[in-house]
Amino acid sequence: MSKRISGLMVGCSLLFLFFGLAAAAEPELVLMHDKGGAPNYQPVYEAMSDACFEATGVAFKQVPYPTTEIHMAAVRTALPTNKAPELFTWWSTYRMKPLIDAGLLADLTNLWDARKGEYDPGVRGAFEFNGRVYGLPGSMAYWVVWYHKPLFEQYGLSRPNTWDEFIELCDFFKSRDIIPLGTTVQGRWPTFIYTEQFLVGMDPDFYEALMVGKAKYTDETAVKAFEVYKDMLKKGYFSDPGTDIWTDFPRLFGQGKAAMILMGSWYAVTLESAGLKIGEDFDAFLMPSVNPKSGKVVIYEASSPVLVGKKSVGLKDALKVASWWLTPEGQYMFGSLSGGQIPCNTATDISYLPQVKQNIVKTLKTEGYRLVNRYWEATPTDICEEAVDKFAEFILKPDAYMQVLGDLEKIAQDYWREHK
Amino acid sequence: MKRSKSVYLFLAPALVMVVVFLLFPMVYTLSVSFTRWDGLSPPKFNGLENYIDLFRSRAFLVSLKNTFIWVIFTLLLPVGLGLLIAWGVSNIKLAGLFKAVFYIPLTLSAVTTGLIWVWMYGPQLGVLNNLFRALHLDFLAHSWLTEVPLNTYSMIFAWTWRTTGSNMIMFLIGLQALPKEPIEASQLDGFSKWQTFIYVMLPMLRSMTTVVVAMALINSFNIFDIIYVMTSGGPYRSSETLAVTMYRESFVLFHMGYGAAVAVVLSIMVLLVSAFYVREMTKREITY
Repeated sequence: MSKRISGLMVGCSLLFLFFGLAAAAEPELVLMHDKGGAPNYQPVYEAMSDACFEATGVAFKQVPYPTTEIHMAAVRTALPTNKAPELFTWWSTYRMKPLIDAGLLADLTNLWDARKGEYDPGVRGAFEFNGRVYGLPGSMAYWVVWYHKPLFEQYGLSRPNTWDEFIELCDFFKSRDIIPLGTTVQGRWPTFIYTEQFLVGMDPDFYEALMVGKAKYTDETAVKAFEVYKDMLKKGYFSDPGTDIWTDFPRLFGQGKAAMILMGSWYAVTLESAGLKIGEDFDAFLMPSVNPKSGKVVIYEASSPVLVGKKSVGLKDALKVASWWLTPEGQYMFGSLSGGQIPCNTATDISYLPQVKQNIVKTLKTEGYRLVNRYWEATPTDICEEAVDKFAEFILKPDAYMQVLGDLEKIAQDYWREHK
Repeated sequence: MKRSKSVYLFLAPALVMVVVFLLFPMVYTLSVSFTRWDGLSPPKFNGLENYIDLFRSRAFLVSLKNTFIWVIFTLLLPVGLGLLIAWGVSNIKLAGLFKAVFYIPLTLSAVTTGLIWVWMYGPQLGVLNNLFRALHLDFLAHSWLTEVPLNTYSMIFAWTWRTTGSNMIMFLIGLQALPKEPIEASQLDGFSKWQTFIYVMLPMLRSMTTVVVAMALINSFNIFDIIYVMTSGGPYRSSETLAVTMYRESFVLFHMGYGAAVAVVLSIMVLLVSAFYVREMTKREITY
């Protein structure tokens, strides 16, 4: 009996040893991401891993985190160690700069160089510091105005081509007790949405200079942009700032009680999940610039960027994954799997996109729109995190705009004094 | 000698746990609070700079004020109401039903409670505002979570809804354990029910009250989850408490040193207030 037990124990030990060695022989790449709270995202990364394996022979295992903060803390803790993730989702530009400064990101410049001509230089710029590129975009988001199509048709309205036409639309809806534009201060970050749009629409060069500390929040251009915003707030063009844009606004929009909202192209998924059909119930247009001299400008966001941990064990394989992700095929896979997101690689076949999004891409290309990076990434995180609270203060107390601008300038000056 | 060695052996697991999970993090947090550290590069010693910055920061002072508002109202509402409800339902018919009604919210997590009340307070589609509008009381409809300081009081109300039941249960246990004789004697002496409650039952409940108030004090100083779910401390940091400020500084902005300084201030406050309160309340023993 005891011999049998001993034999069983030895057998089990050998089995464990075998699997242990097998696991050790084939280290699996890890992709940490913050979409654990969005269950529909997990099959996306699973399918990406399968597709990647088919194309490169390398797969990866996802490690989802339920919230952004937990994800950030986990990644930052792991990156300097030998447990650094091979791949992880992050944010571009200034959001990734502390990781670059600490020498924790793999240099992807060669991979980007191999794709020259396939990417807008602005998009590469979102991942570039001192001539080196450190990340890649999952997909591309453009900030557009989503509008309630049946409402426009019912009142015989057309999409605006100029700022005056856009304001006329707002006036029209306001006069009919329909909320012209959705907004919120809930969740903090959405407060930059209209602020950046009006700054860019006033002067995109000024906006870009402001983002890197070469212009001031108290400059005339910023003051003018805030005055435009203040007038719109005071005229009641916006929804109550306490509106939840993820649950309440889609319902108001679906009921025809709200007409428009400025949001990333990914917001279509939110509206669709409220039972609305893209192209039938809602469509999109690009917001005209406040200042006609600004030309045609659109705010973009390099969505769901993927970075590579420099100290990770599987760095070599991680670079293969990154290289594949940058290809038209990789971009196609991620874009099509993640609910019809727009690919960053311009050589990608976009036939999988809904017609509305295809139209956006075509318009941007044919009409020569200038791409400008989103506020969240374009300016240093320390400024941005304080600024979004200041924008909220302005939205709730529009008359205090000069004080808010003064505070913003002080925040920016404090940062740039230390970091120049 | 042999006996004392075995005592240490039995104490060892608990001691190790206390040292590893309590003392070490406390000392470590204290040491981090004297540094400037982003969690990536090595920490740099900066003396008392974080503490000086704290008391210069408007956001910290607002956070401090909000923490005290939470403490005061948590003592007044969930504890006070819990006591009154416990007294009210202790001797009535359908007591079980009432107890269940008040206790059910406690079975929900703070996060779930927060989400429920976010929907209740929604400015356009929220239950509360729609109820007021249906009753033609439009002037009572508010943007409950964005108007300052209404947002803090709205969250305290949600917290009261959730936690009153637990205090009620604690007080019910205390009330049931009270000796009957002094209560009956007071009624024979012509005391009304209210007078009996105030002058006889309440003093005898002192030990239970001490526990309930001490727990409420500590919980309210550390209040975090419901605020984070309902407003994230906003708008413009107007509803932050010290625990939210600490989290935001440490894990959103990665100002680890500054966040640790907030944690140290918060811990000292909780320790001082609760130690002082418990010591004062346990000075005199009630005998009956």
